[in-house]
Amino acid sequence: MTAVAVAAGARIRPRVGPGLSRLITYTFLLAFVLYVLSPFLAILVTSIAQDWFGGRILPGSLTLRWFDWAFNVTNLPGVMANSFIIAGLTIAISLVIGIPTAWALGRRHVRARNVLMTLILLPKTVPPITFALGLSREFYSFDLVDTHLGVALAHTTLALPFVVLIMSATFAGLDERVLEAGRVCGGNWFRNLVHLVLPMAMPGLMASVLFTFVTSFNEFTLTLVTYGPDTLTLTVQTYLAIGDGFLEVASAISVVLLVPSVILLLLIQRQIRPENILGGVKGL
Amino acid sequence: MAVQFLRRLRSGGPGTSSARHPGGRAVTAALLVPAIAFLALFFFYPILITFGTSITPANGTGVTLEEYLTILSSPKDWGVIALTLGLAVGTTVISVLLAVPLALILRRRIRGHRALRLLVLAPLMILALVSALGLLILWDRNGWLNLLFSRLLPFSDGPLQIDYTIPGLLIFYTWLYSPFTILTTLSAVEGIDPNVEEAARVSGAAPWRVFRSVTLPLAWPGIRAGSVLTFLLAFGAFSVPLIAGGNHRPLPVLIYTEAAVFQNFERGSALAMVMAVVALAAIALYTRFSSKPVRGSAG
Amino acid sequence: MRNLLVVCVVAAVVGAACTTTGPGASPAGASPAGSAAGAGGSITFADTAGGANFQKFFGSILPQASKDLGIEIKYVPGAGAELQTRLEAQKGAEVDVDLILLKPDVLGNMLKAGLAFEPLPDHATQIPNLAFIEPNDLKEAFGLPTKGQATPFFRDQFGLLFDSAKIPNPPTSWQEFFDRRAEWAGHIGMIRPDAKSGGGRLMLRDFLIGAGVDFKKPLPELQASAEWKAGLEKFREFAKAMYQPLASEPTVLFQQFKNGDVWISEYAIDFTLWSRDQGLLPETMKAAVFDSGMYGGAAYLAVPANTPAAKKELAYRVLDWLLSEQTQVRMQTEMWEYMAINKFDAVPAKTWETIPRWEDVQDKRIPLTNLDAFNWLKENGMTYAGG
Repeated sequence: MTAVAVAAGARIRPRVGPGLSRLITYTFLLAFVLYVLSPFLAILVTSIAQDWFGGRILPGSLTLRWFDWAFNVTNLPGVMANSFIIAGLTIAISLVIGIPTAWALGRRHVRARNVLMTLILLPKTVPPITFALGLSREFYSFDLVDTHLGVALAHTTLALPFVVLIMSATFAGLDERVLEAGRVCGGNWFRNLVHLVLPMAMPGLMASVLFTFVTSFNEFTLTLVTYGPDTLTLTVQTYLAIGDGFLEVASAISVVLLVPSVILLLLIQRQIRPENILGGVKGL
Repeated sequence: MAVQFLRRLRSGGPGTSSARHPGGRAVTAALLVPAIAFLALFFFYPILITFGTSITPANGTGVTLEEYLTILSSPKDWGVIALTLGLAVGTTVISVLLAVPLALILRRRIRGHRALRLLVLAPLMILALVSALGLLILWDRNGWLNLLFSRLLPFSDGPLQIDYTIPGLLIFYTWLYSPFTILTTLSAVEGIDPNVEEAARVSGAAPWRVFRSVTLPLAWPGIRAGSVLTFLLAFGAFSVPLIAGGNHRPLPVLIYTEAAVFQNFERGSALAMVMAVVALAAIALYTRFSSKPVRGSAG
Repeated sequence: MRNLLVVCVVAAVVGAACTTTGPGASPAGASPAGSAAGAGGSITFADTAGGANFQKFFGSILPQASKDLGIEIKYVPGAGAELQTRLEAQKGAEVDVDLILLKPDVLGNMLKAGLAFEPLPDHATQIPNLAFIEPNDLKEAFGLPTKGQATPFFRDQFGLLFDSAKIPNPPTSWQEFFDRRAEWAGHIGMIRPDAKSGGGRLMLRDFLIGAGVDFKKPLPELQASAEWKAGLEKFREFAKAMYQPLASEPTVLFQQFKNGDVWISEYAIDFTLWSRDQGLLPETMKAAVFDSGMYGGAAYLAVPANTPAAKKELAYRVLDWLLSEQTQVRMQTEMWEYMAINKFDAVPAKTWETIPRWEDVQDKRIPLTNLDAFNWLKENGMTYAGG
């Protein structure tokens, strides 16, 4: 269905409009690009800045010290690995738990659907500190503290609402005619799932993965009540570094962190056209 | 999406498509159990402890609604609730205003549209606290933007105060949370069958009318879905207002202060409960009012 | 193309799940208090007092400690309130933290919440260096009896911080600071009293002491006194000359110092000088302690009472190492903290070119007393600070 939309989209491409309209369009885009990118530039400069005081445009001198610090003090590789493992687990758990529920909510008759949906959204409406104490008590009784799985389970409470929200909308928007055709043509449910449902649900799935990753990666409070020496995450490390005013070090950590993200994005851009992931989600 | 379900429920349950599914209630229940069990264990049980704390007197036993009454009778607390809500609504509105033109431009597949799509995601790739500090430095009275403005507009009187102000918070929130709206809006706009718009255009509708009566209604479910995400995230924002909010401290910062700094879990818990109710009520209201533009559309 | 994408995503998710149940599961079995693994065993050391500077410091000294003692030390940076949450969640059970570094107010709140720590003087044979700690430092913190449940690890000192390029002749007392506030109107910095960091409320407290408030009185009596009311009103006036809005956390105050909005404030000397040395603050930053006194505190080491016995033995040995002369001298010379043990003769004389001699500040240190009053300032200070 995406392909159809894309092909059709290409057909109506013709005019970006003459003169003024074009000017407005590009001014808007330029402003947007600057708006999004400028904080990154500020962080990048901060990460190599020394002696940057009193409203100077650029730092008095540059240094790579904060990067050295980021690598050597924070044990960046190990801590980063923890963050990625925990985020990966959170994605896996959230999808495994969330997708069946999303399917039921999106495509089956569920009584009190909006009550259920509201309950599932609830964890996103209160600050995590409010249920951190209870959660931490449970984790001690289940022996989950300081395990990747434990921290990931805690993060899942925050990621699950998004997964259910996005996936149920995606499932609800699936084209009934295509599914029907699949059934008529005699495909078994597994074939239909892999060849029909999965491709159609892919954009929603990608969005869920992305949002879950971001949620887990950013979580501070729930990590602080469930982590331990073996599961220290980058966010905790960075927040504690900033706490006393080490923006330079935190910036360096963030810049290092951007590298895998940028590589990933470039790969996506090369290999898979981004419009297939970031666009064309019907029914969402 | 959430919105769609709610709407469908109101109009008498899901369509015929679902009724046919095999297995009936047992399968439906089985599909729902994992998520419900998970949340019951790791969210509802802990939050019930919190709720218990909020209705237990500070030292002693019994039940009291004192904390709630204090909040409800405090103009200051109402002010904080209004601020939190205002920031979240403002961010959501600005995000939509940003997302729609951007989506309309990107769908034309202009040169560089792929890079722009990836750029939309950029704010998600950095820790919120770090980006908050980056934004703070950038928009500072001595920051780059003010240095730029003072060059471009030498006649302006003094630097612009953006940091620690409400407009500043809106700029920062939008930077951080608009990607969610932009993403779903883009998806929705690109999912529209161009023939429908073409048909409207051929039959003589002006571009604005085509947008108003065809494009927007068709894209609305997507816009609405993303804006719910943006709303929820902006409503729960912590790092940005903590760092860049100055004296404007919305509910999450207040709750954190009460619970973690003052060790006053009773009041912190009560505020959290109020916050949840306000968020859910706001979404319910939004759902109700925002369902109009879609009426009669294909969805 | 799309199938490829599908395969990639599925593979990634499954891969993540598989690889992580391995490393995720094994520490699960090994790490909680149970078995003291390895030859010398291991302990978990939670640091809630140090910032990034101490993360760096511990990163460089703890490997040496492990080597010297044959004990694996798992170092975990953390935050006070959250650690308290965790310790409370483990009440009545064995805890998974064996040694803790705390700020005094966190220690106070933990003791008030009923958390108990091992009385260290009972184990003086295992911790010989405890003998060099000021006896009074083991008796009380923040004016409450600690009964030896914590020992100082370092002693920090607050002071007036100012940019000497902008303020060549700084005030020498709170009264002078107040009287000359118009000279620096809009450039006096302060952290909010209700911030996570205690810096702002300490500044408020020190100001009140400077205005004649006697913190020895219990809170109700204090609140009824005329000087308390007058002091708070005076502070309200003072706050009008501050850079508003007040910094929400230290990082914002530092940013304000950096961009030239703030010229003068009160904060921890050690940390500020250290930051200056690192190029994180202007070279013209200087520090001074008022003769009438300013906050002098400490960061405390403690061993939770419900740490498993075997771990406690290891924790005492690590604690003793941390209080040893070599470690304490390193801390004095690298971190600009005053050492906890009274062995200042061992410190190179050059150190005192950067910070005042211990003898010179010793009598100007005003410890944290009256936690009730301090907590009151924490919760109500903003009312007077122009918020």
